[in-house]
Amino acid sequence: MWKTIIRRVLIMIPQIVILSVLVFVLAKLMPGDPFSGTIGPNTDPKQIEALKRAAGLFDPWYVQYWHWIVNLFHGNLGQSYTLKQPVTTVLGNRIGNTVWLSLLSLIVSYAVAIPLGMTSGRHDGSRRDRGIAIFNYFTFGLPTFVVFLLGLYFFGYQLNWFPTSGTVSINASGFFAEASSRLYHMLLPGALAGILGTTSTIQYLRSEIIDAKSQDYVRTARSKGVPTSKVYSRHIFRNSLLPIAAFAGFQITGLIGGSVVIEQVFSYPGMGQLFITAITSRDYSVVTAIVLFTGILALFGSLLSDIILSLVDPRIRIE
Amino acid sequence: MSEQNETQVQPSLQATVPEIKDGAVIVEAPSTWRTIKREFLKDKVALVSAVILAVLFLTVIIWSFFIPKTAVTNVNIIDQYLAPGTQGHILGTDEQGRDQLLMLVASAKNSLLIAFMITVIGQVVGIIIGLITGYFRGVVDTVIMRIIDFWIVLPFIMIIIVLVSIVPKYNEWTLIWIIGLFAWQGTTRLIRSKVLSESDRDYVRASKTSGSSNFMIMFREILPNLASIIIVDSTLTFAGNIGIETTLSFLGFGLPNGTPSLGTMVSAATDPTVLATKAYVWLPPVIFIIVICVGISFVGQVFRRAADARQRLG
Repeated sequence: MWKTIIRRVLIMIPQIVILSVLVFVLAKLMPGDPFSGTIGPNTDPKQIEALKRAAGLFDPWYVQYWHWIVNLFHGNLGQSYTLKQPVTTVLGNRIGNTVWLSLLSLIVSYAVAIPLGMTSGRHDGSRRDRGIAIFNYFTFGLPTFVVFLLGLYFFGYQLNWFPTSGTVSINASGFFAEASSRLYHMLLPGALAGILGTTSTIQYLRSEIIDAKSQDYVRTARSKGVPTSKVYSRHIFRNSLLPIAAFAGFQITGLIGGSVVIEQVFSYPGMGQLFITAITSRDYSVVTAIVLFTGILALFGSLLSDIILSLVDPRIRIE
Repeated sequence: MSEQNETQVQPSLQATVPEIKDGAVIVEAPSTWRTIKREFLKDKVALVSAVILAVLFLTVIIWSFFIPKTAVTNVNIIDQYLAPGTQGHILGTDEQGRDQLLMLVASAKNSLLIAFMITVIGQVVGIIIGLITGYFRGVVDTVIMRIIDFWIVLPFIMIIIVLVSIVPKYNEWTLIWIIGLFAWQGTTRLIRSKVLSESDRDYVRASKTSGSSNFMIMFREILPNLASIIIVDSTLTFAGNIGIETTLSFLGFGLPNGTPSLGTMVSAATDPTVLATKAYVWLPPVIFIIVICVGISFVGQVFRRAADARQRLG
C-alpha cells in the first residue's frame, strides 16, 4: 500500500522538474525581458545592458534556470509588467475565484451525474438509458464555449435570471450578502461547467453498475430478500462510488484548465481570464506563473486520483 | 457465368445449389460495410445526422470554391450589422459589413479542413507510436507511456495559447502542428491497448515463427485488424478537433487574421451588446458547430457499435 503511494510520489518529482524546464523554455522563448517596460527615450542603452547583465540575462541557460528555480522557492515569481505588482499578489487575488468556481462545478457535476449514471445503469437498454445516452453525446461532443455562450444568452440576457459578468455586485455589504452575491454570480457558469463535466462519470458509473448487477454479492443480497431499490442504493452504489471518487483529481485538473474559456465568456475575474489578459498585453511573467501553477496543480490532481485509486483497487498496488 | 451454365446442364442439382449457398451465407461473417449499413438503418437519429452531415460537408466544400476572396476580406462599415434579409444578405452582415452566409461557408471550410489535418497528424503519429509501444513492450513502452501520462494532464489549452502567441511567422500550418502536439496521446493509448491484446493472438505468433519481420507483422498484419477502431477513434477525435480549433479561434488564438473560422465568427459575441441584441450575428455559426459536432458523435457511435459486436443493435 505505502509502497505504491511512495512510488507514485517519487514519479511526481521528475514530472515537476520536466514541467519546470518546459515552462522555463517557454518563458525564454517569449519576447522581451523584465526591463523592456522601463525603457524610456532618455534611457542609456548601456545602462540597460548593465541592468540585464546584473539580472543574469547573459548567463548560460542552466545558470539562469537555477536562479529561476531558487527564486520560485522563495515565492518570487517576478513583477507583473502591466499591473506593476508582484506576480504572487496578482495571482493570489484571482486564485480564490477560480477555486470556488471549480468547486461549485464539481459539486454540480456529481449531483447531476450520479443519479443519471445510476438510472442508466440500472435500466440499461430502456428509454431512459437511451435518453441519457443522447444527453451524453451532447455534453461530450459540444465545444464548451458554445454551451456557455448560449447559456449566458438565454439565462443571462433573455430571461435575466442571472448576472452576466463579474463575481460580486457592488451594493452587497456584510458577510452574508456578499457570500450570497458571490454564489449567485457563480451559479450559471458553475452549473453549465458542471453539466458539461458529467460525461465520463455517467459512462463510468453506468458500466460499473451493469458489471455489478451480475456479481455474487448482488445475487446474495437479492436472495436474502433485500428490496431491489435498496440493493441499488446501498450495495451497488457504494461499490461503484469509490472509483468515481478517484477521478475527482482528474476532474479538478480539467476544470482548472477549462477555466480559460468559461471565465472569458462570463467575464469572471479568475485565473483563466487573467491568463488571457496577460497574454494579450504581453505580460509574460504572469503568463509563465499561471502555466507553471496550473501545471503543478494538474500533476497534483492526477497524483491524488492515482492514490485514491490504489486505496480503492488492490489490483494496482505493488506489494 | 460458368456456374449458370452448369445449373442449366444439370437441372437435378438446382435444388441443392441454393441450399449450400444459404449455408455459406450464414457462415460468412458480414462485411464491415454491411454491418455499418445495418447499424445505420437501426439507428434513425444517426442516419439522419449522417445525411445532414453529408449535405453540409458537400455544400461547404463545393460552395467555398465559388466564394471570391474579397467576400471575406472586404471592409464596408456602412453595411455593418445589417439584419438578415436586407439588401440580399440572407443572414445579414457582420461588424465589417461582410455577408454572413458567405463568411459562414468560408469559415466552415477552414475549420473543417484544419480539424481534418490535425486528425490526420494525430492518428498517424498515434498509430505508429501505439504500434511500437504495444508490440515491443519493455523499456520503450514504459518510457513512452510515462511521457504520455505526463503530457495528458498538462493544461494544454494554455500551452497551445502560449505557443501560438510566441511562434514567429504564424500561419495555418503552425497552428495545425501546435494543436497536433496535443492530438496524438489518446490515440496512442487506445492503439497500444489493442495491440497488446492483439500481439498475443495465434496469427501473430504463427507469423513470428515463420520469420516475418516485425515491421511486416505490425503494419501488414496487426494494423488491418485495428481498422474499425481507427475509424471510430478518428471520427470522434475529428469532432474534438473542430471543438479545439473553434475554441482557440473564439479566444482569439486560433486561425490568423484573414483566415475566417467558425470560432472567430462566434467571437463577435464577446461584445455584450452583440450577444444580447444581435443574435443573428453569432447564432448561425453556433448552430453550425452544434449540428456538426453532435452529428459526428452520433455517427461515431454507430461506427463504434459496428466495430464491437457486443454493442450492436441489429
